[in-house]
Formats: sequence, C-alpha cells, structure tokens
Amino acid sequence: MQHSLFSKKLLISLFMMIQNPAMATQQSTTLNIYTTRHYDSDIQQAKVFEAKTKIKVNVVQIKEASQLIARVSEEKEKTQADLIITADVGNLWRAAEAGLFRPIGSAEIKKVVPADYRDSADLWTGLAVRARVIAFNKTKVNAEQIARMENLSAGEFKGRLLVRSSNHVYNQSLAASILAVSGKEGLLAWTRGVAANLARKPQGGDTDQIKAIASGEGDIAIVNSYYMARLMVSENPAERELLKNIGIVFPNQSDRGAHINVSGGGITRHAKNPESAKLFLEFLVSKEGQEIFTSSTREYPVRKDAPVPEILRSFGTPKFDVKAIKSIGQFTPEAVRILDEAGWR
Amino acid sequence: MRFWTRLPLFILVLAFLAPIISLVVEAGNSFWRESIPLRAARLVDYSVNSVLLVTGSLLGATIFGLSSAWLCARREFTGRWVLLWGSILPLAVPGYLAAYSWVDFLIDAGFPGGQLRNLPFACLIFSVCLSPYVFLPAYAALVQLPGSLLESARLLGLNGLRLFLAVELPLIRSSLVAGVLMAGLEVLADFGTVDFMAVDTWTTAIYRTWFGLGDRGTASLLAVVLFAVSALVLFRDSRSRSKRSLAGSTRKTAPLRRSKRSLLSILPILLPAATPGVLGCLMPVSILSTRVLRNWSSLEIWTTIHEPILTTLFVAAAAGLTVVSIALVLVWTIRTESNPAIRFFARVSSLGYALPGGVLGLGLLIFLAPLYLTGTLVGLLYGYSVRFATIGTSSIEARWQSIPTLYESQARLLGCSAAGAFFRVTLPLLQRSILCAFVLTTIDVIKELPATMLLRPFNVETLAIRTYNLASDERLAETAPSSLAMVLLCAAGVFAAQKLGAFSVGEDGNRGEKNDRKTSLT
Repeated sequence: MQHSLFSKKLLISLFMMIQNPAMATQQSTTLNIYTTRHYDSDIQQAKVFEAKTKIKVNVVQIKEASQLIARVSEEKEKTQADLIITADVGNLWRAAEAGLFRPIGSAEIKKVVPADYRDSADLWTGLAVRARVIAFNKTKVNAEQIARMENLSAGEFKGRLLVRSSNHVYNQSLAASILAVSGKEGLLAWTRGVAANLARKPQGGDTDQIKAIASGEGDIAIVNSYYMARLMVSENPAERELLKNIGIVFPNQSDRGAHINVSGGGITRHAKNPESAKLFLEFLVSKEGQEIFTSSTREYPVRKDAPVPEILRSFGTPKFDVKAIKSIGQFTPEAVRILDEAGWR
Repeated sequence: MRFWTRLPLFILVLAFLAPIISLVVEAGNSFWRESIPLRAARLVDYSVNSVLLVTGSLLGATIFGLSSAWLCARREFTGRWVLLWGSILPLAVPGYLAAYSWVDFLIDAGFPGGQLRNLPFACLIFSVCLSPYVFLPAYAALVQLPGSLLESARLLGLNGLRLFLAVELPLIRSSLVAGVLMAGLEVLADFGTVDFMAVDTWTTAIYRTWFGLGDRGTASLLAVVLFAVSALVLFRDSRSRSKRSLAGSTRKTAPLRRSKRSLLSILPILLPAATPGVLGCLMPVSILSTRVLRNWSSLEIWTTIHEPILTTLFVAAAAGLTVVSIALVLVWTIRTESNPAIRFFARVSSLGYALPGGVLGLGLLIFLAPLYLTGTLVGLLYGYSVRFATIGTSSIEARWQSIPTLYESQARLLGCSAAGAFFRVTLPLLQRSILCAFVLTTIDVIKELPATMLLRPFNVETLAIRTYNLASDERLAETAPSSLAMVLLCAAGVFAAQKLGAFSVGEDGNRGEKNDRKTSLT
C-alpha cells in the first residue's frame, strides 16, 4: 500500500498546528492561501505549482467569504494569509473595501486578463467564470420565451419556476446585477414576479432544480452553467438521462449578456510572501492554470486564448455581463433587502 | 489562600466570557452606528419558525425517547437490547448528515423533492437525532426508581399509562428537563440542517445578515439576543432544579423487575420507541454503506479519507483532554465553593453551547487574533472548550454529586491536604466519569463543523468539513465515505461511553440485583 497510516506529511502538518506559521521565520518558499473554493481543480493547481516552483502551498479553506474576510480582518498584520481567493466577485469587492488587499503589480496578469475581469485599482483579478443560465423543459417551453432573465417574472410562467434560496450568493449576485441595471423598482418588480411564479418553495442546490425539471415539478430553473455541464458529462447514466428533455439558454444575449459569477484572487496587504502569491496568480491565469479550471470544474476561463473543453464549446460562445462585475459587491446588500421584501426566501 | 485557589477559576471564567464579550462589543458597535436590524424584514417569520421547530422537535424527541426508555426499563421482550442500542446510537449521526442521506435517498427513489424539505420533516429529523438526549436520562432515572414505590402504586390500582403519568413521570421529570433543554439549545443554534431543509430560523437571520448584507455587527446582535434567551432558560432551569433536588434516598432499593411481554402486545409503544433507531441510525447507515459499496472501486476511498480520519481523531482527542481538565477545575469549584456568586460564574461554562458555532467562532476570532492564536491548534482547542465544556462538566458533576462529601472530609481529618484528599480520594472515584466526559466530548468534536471551519490551521481537513464541502458542491453521493467514517467513529465512541457506564444504561434491574448481593456479602 502506498500510504502508510501516518504519512510524514500528515505528521508534520499535525505538528505544525501547534505553532502559528506567521510567527516562524518565513522563507519565500512558502505560500499561504485562504480560499472559499474547495474544488479538485484548486488542489490540482496547487500541486502543479508546487512541482514547478518548489514553493510549498498551504491552504485554509473557509466556505463563507464573509467569515474568511472576518478572519483576515481580525488577524490584521499578524495574518498568515498571503493570498485570498473567493468564489464570487462581490466578495472580492468586500475584501477590497475592508482594506485587505495590496496591488498585485503583475504586468503578465494585466496582459492576459481582460480589464473587465480585473479591479481598476489592481487589487484583485478574476480567475474563472460561471454563468447563471436558464434550464428548461424542451417539451413545454420555447427558448425564445426565456431569452431574457427579466422574462421569468411574466405571468405565463406561474407555478412553473424553480430556483434555489436567495440565502445563496449566486442568487444574491444575480439580483445585484439586475439592481445595477434596473434600479430598486425594477428589481422589486422582477423578484416579486419570480416569487409569484415559483413551482415550490426555493430549496436545495442548483442540481436539485435540474432534477425537479426532470421529475416534472417545474419547467424552468435558474441554475449555474457549471452544474449543468457536470451532469452532461457525468459518468452516471442516470444523471445524463435526467437531461433528456432539458435545454439551456444563456439569457440576455441581445443586451447586457448572461450574469456571471467570477472567482478571483488578490494579495493581502500584510502578505509575508507577496512574490509567491503573485507567481501563483500568474500561474492560475496561465494557459496551463486556466485549463485546469475549465477541464476539472468546467468553469469558463478569464483569458480568451485558454483551451476550452468540448462540453463548454457545445454551448457556443455566449456573451457575458462583464460590465456588472465591479458593481455587484456594492449592490448586494440592497439586493438582499429587496429579495427579503419580495418574499423570495 | 482563598484567592489562589480561586485563581484557576477566574482565568477560566474570563476565557469563557472573552468571546461572548467580544460579540457583545461587536453588536454594540453596530447598535450605535445604525439603528438596528428591522432591515431583516422577516425577523418575525424567522422567530416563529424557530419556536415551531424547537417545539416540534422537542415534542417528537420526548415521545420517541420516553416510550423507548419506558419499554426498555419496564418490559422484557425479544430484541430489547437492540431497541436499547437503537435508542442511543442516533448520537453518532449528526442531524445534517441524517438530512443529507434521507433527502438524497428519497429523491433518488423518485419522491418529488419539493415535499421533502419543510418544517415538519425538519422536526422529524431533529426529534430522531436528538431523542437520545431524552432517552438516556429517562432510562437511567426509570431503572433507579425504587420498585417498592411502584408496587404500592399498583396495589392502589394504578396501571399502565396512568401509573406512568401519575407516578413515574413526575419522579423522573427533573432528570428529563436537562436533556430536553440541551436538545432545544442544539436545535436553536443549528444552521446546517435547517439550511438544508429549507427552513428559515433565527440562525438564518443571523447568517443572512452577516453573509448577505455583509453586516457583522447586526449579525452579532441577533446572536447575542439568541444567546441571552438561551442563557435565561438555562439559568432558570438550574436554579429551579437545585431547589427541587429531591436528594434520592441513599439506601439502595431493589428496582422493579421487568415483566415479560410479546412483541405484538407492546407494538403501539414499540413503534415510536423504535423510530429513532430506524430513522436516525439504521437508515442513514444503510444508505451510506450502500453508496460506499456501490462506488467501492471508483472512489479510491482510503486515499481520500485516511488523512481526514487521522486529523479528526487527533483533534478530537486533544479537545477531549482539554475539556476534561477544564471540567475538573470547574466542577471542583462548584462543589467546594460556598460563595454563590462564584458558583454562578462557574456555571458560565455551559453557555458556549447556546451560540451557533459560526458566531461563537467570530467571537473567538476577535479575541484570538491579537494573540497570534488564530489558525493554531491552541486556538482551535480553545474554541472547542468554550463550546463543549458543558458536556464535560455535566457528566463529571453528575458522578461527583453521588460521592458523599464525607469521604473527603474524613481524608482531611486523617491529615490529607485539600488537594491531597482530592487526588487520593475523589479523583480515583471519578475515573470512569472522566473517561466518559472525554469520550462524549470527542464525539461532539468529531461532528462539529462551523467553528472548526473558521478557526482551523493550514492543511487541516476533518471528516465533517470534507463531508460538508462535498455536499455544498452538490455531490451528495460522494459524501458517503467520509460521512460513514464519521458515523462509525462516533458509534465507536458511543459504544465505549456505554461500556464505561456513561449513560447508566448498564445498571439495569437484573444486574442491579447481582450487585446488591455482592455488596451485601462484603
């Protein structure tokens, strides 16, 4: 067996727990990351990066960005974190507002990542993208009927709509992006319409909404492209079977583009290893790093020339709402209050 | 002298209060900055849901736990020990895990998902998973009731349900209340299960305010309110109980013999009694095992979970040791201290349980960060101690109370110092309850999620975290190996605790007689 019960690595990490690494003398051969992401892609990227650079990558993952931000804010100059990675761009904005970042200062990143996906003050950069798409029952709905996210509040969809809870950041960001273009009244009208159209109380994750279309509980669902793609290439035939009658639409193609959730990262103000952090960010936006995102989690790359797997190519080249990226964080609190008011749990 | 013996207590109380004070300060800041939380427009709905959820869950847990306790204590039937274990083992299955496995299983079986996630179903899950909190004290109390008393009641014409309601229930009530309260606190502070079950409670309000509105201050304020309510209930309970304390008769009386019954005749009670075992243990475990076996080759099971298993064990054992040491100091103070104010403060330790783990984590973070302690084992253990000290204290205290003070005072008369009397007389007598406290804390730490997530050091992944991450990535089927490992570890703990007599489940009537004979011989 290749794994002895107590591998050396594990013993070391257990021993290291006793001591705060920030207190030890730091060599620039380590990189400490706080991240909200917990995907295999990220683990793989860290491994490849370690092998390439001989920089040791340590990771703490905290699922909720607000908690991660709280930890770094409280740790102040004592923080162990060199790099913060979060799964939603609104959270990067929050971290930037809290003064947690320093400018990245990488010419390479500026060159390969389009300006829309980067902070104007160079405090963070986007790394990977997921789109909020509309899944629908092809036998009951025409793709044209749902060409815009705004259409989902129309009376014709009463009792047919499926969506997860607005406790989740995906929907909060979506609402924020609509708030940014349609204002308070616009968002309130839309969320009220959506709440009135729901086939059932918002619940479960995105995959559950897709399953609910398959089981006939509803006809239309707001879901993430990433879950859709994952089911489509699933090794489990039962999961692929679910999608038999289900199509997807990237909404708002004739106007602002489909709403996207951007994962991104920034270097902390009190980073002890800022150079390692910069190297890692550069690696993540390199073709190699980007390919790990697209092939492992089936997210869209931020750089235009990164290879995209077959399944994403089958979706065509959708237009994304890139203009909203930088305002989502700012609009989210207001959007959440409006979601509360509209009764979209 | 007085001051020096009290010093450890002062330090501990301060350590316990620190994160709570941090939260209050955090809450206060927001109070002055803006005018409070009416922004969360649905606060009323949330509170109503919380009340309904707690009521429903406790009602269910009481029905399940009591019927099983009564059956096991009063009736002899085929498979009695199965029911006994089935009533304890749900302790090994955290609520969120039961919820994951049920919902996943039922949706796969073709149930429309829309009918599965709601308040009644959430209540059912909590009642099943928390029923051991009722079963254990109820069973222990029932088997200790003197048989003579019940025989007299029978001679006076009371039987069956009337006997139970009129005589037994009032007598075991006080030992029940503590268990029910603990269960209630657990429901109130839960987020993982209710979030998954699509029920919005007061904790939803807390986390929605924090994560959605990005408003830490108001979230802390909401948490402090929840905390204050729980604390009030806890203190009222401990006061009223101390007044009521019936001081069980010191003379050992023979318990009632269990009467033999056929399974069919006890069926109406057996059904609710067996529910926790079936729904809270058997079903989740078989669902998980099937999943693990089905994907045996493709999941590379050992590689993915062997590190989390060892990490979990290491962290849980370290936490167990810490909590036991702290509990000893606290109980010693409660036991020896005459000043009521000081005794009151020693009780503060039980309050960590009354806060949602994530919020307690925030309080700890604020306090630990300036000390370089976030992301260290010390910080993590500190967090566990605040959260779980009460588990250690209560199991040690229960035993300690049954040791007559006479023992120590006689040791003192024979020339022992206070410390000497403690170490040479009391400590050996406490041995088992200390081991129990250790095991019970360990089980809870294995299941703990939010505080671990927030405070953990680099590269540390426990089974609970692994399970949660996979589940939140909507890969429920893949959670099976880590979930199952977690349940099995906890079950091993429950088993060990039972063997150590943690639940006083071994001291049943029939064995009691043998012990009596032994004592009468010596």
